[in-house]
Amino acid sequence: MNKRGGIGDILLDNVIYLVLLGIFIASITPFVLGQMNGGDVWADYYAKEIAKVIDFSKPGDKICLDVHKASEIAKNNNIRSFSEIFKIDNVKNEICVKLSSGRATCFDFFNDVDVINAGIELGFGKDGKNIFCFEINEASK
Amino acid sequence: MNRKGAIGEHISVFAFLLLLILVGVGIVGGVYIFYQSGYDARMADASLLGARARECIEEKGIETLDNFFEKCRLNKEKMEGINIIKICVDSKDCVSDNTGFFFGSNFESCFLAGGEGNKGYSRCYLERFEIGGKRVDIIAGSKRVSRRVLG
Repeated sequence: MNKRGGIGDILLDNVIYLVLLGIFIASITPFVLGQMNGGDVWADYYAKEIAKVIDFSKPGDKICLDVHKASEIAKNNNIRSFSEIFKIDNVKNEICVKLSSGRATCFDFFNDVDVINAGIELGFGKDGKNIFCFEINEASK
Repeated sequence: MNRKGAIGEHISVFAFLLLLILVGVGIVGGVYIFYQSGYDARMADASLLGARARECIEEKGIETLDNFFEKCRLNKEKMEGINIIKICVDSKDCVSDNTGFFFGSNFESCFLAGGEGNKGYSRCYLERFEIGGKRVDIIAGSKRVSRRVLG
């Protein structure tokens, strides 16, 4: 019976298992934590709510919405710039909200208007909250 | 050199890897299902469309139905295949009455109880009001959902 290297083999086996487990935990943790802060859920919520507001607005309206929660989530998810969070495409009539890096949630609006001067204003809302403001114009296309 | 059991040891590493992959797929799948369903905005979309149509008719009159989308500032392309709308004037059964203005089809499915949780079906909103002594029924429906894009 050859017992040479027995301890070394056991140690090596365990090291391999531990390394694999470490890689597994390291790769799964960011995904789970990313989902736990609700980036995609909130992106879906904001896209739908803003589309609803646009659908019921008229040319000449100026609208400001409290988006403090969205800006906090985006910051936690390493979105580089607040200008990346909300994007409104007047040609496609859609709003896209990006609160997680690498993906955005888009929702269409049926109101045939153009959304102009859209942007986040930091600290301009009630109690210093961040707000997203935009104006509604007649459709130019 | 003792080679006994060498293959067996490698197999156990692969088994462990397979186990990790299975656990990973389970966690990712579970988290995905739990967090990704979003909330159902079909009813809100339908009621908004109905309210917009009512407001437009009250403001511009029933004659607006001749050129409904332009006069009411609605984007027909964005509504195609997603929204349905039917406007009946003095009709006894607006759902089956196809004599008035309508856009889209399958209005019968609007009020199927089984369709409520199915995102393939429209959720519908019924708006009823009177204008100039005429009763107007508006059935507006939507099956609009959000979509995820890379970027």
